[in-house]
Amino acid sequence: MFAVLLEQTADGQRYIDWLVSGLGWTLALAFFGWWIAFAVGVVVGIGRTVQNRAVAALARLYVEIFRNIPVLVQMFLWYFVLPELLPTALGNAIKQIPPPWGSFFPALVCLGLYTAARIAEQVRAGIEALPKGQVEAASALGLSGYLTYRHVIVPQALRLIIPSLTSEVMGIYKNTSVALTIGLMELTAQARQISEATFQTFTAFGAATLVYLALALIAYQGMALIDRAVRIPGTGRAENAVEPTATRVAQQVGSLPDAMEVVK
Amino acid sequence: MNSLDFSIVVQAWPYLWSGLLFSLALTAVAFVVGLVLGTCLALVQHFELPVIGRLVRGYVALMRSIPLILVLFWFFFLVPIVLGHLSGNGRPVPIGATWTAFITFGLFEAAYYSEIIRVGLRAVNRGQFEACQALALSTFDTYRSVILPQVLRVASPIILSQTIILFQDTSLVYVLSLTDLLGAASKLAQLNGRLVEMYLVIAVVYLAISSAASQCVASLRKRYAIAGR
Amino acid sequence: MLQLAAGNKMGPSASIVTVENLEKRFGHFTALSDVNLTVAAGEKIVLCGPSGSGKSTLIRCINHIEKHDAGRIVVDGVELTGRMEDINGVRREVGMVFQSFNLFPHLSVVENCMLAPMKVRGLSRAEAHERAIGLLRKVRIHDQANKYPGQLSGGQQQRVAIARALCMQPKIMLFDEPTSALDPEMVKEVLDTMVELAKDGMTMVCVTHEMGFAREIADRVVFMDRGCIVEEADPETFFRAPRTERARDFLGQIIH
Repeated sequence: MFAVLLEQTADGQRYIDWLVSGLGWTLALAFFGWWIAFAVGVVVGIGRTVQNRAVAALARLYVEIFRNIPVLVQMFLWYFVLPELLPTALGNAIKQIPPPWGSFFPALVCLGLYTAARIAEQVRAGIEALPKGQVEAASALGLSGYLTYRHVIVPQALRLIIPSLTSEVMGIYKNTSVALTIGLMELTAQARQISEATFQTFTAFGAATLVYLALALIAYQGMALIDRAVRIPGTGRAENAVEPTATRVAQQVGSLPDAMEVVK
Repeated sequence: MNSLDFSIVVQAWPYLWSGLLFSLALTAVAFVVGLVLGTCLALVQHFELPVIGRLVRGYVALMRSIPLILVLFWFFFLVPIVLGHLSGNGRPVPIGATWTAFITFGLFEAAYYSEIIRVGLRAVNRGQFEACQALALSTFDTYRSVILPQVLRVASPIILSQTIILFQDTSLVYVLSLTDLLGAASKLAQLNGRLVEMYLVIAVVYLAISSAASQCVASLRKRYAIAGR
Repeated sequence: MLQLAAGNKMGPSASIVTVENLEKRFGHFTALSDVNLTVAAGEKIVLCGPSGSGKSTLIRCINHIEKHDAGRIVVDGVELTGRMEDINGVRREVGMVFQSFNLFPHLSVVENCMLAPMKVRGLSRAEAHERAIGLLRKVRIHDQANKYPGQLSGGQQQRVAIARALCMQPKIMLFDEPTSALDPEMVKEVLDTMVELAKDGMTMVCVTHEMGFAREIADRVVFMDRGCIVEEADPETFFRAPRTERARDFLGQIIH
């Protein structure tokens, strides 16, 4: 069934090379986008929980905007609209970026900042779910606000939200396909191109589907591995001392026990 | 930087409005179909029916693992073929992008809703089942009158959050060249060249609708949190 | 009154904590009203009273975990107003042990003890480690130094919490019902640790219902009810001949 993938294309490659190149863009987008999303998401999520009203309001504004506009529309805003709003010289410079980078960078920024808003909400829920005694104990030891976040709150909150982060990881790699709308030839776009070139639609989409399934499996197993690696000895997840915490997180994140916050 | 001219939007508004109506209709249909079908899929898994249970589990896992755009492509290609087989003569029945979109979103969302409901079913207290047995309720009545109402009530904030995501995801029918809100804006932008104004305006429309809906869900969640205490 | 002469540093027998006319409200509920208390260096005070009497709130105010609404609190010569530098300065000198331990579950026992000395006192890792092991040995739990809080029993966790507070070399230790969350068989190991600490000369304010402990080490028993200090006496007097009706009722309830 997949034999057609080994056939020669018009440009002298094989169709499978198209798929591999598409996979490369998908992975690059998901990988680098994830680190942008994680970094920004943790900062914004912390921002939502700090005492300073202005900071908390800004963080909330960020989340509201980036979570409530469809990712495809955000993609267009970065790709089509931003260069027009910038000073002409800068806008033109952006438009001159050669393909595929001219599509890749807007897609990267778009996916990173979109996913960051979702991660920020998880981080906030994780922080709010920690027992109050943790902050009190840290204060009683004389730790400043920064030190308390750095050494006590954030390390615990991040462990708590690993299950929800798993679905964000799955979300970002699936959302990479949206980049095809601004011309990035990632995996789904390559599958469609192969389908159009060969009329072997089953094979083309089937191959892409298998690759996405494999990615999902890897993402899931990888996160499970991380979860196990950073698990605190003496505390099974949702057991022991953190039990009330874990259930509260479940309610707040809106993720039912096994990370239900769903993303496409 | 060109000067912005939002008066163009006033002219374009009727067309954008019809696009928005399509987005909302697609959301509504996908919500109803998805929820009903999703509940069935969840029950099939919950009862651990031998073969079909595993098939359903596989379907849900598949839908949750691949991008919605690829699902749209798949259905756009597959639905005519399947319909052809069903109609008996084996020839693909072209049904057009609109129908494809409705069918795809309904089936796709069913997978997500079913997952929410399946987890909700698992969380129902055992005592509820035992109480129904003690009252000699049939299995059908147990689920229809006791279990499912509880599950839907508890899961409703999550179901609604999911529906807000669904509303945003309907913009992806752009890849089928349909005229939803985004499709309408994009088509107008190609005609009049004012793509900055068009995309900014629809971004604000999406933002306003999703944001307002999120606020409603948040207040609902708060009310339930208090009632449940 | 010594505390009125408060300069910045005072002699060894001077008061470490001075509380004057303290008031604290939670909404409409008055948790503390017109509370006055002086703790001299080396003194051991046991705070007791029925639940809701404000004893926990009082010691939480001394560490500024709760903000007081009126009155003065002076700790080690520094008055607690809203200034963060003062508060953190004071907290460094005041150790606190909580009812629910509040160990950091993601850090091992020894790391729990090293965190604040390194980050707040600026000790090197080696110094902090040495100090932590020393104090863990003192509370007889050094053989568990590399375990995590979740792997210890409640009594062990509370002893770690005491060691963690001691690692900051505080001038005074506050105990907020340190044995109330423990299974009965673990209460003794924690009390023994506290008795030892008292015999070493540590200044201590303990909220506790362990009257045997109060008899053994307290210089003064302070009885609180409904947000006020009702009675203050040496333990012998307090237990033998409480002056007030409320204290008699209270003692009747806890001693059976």
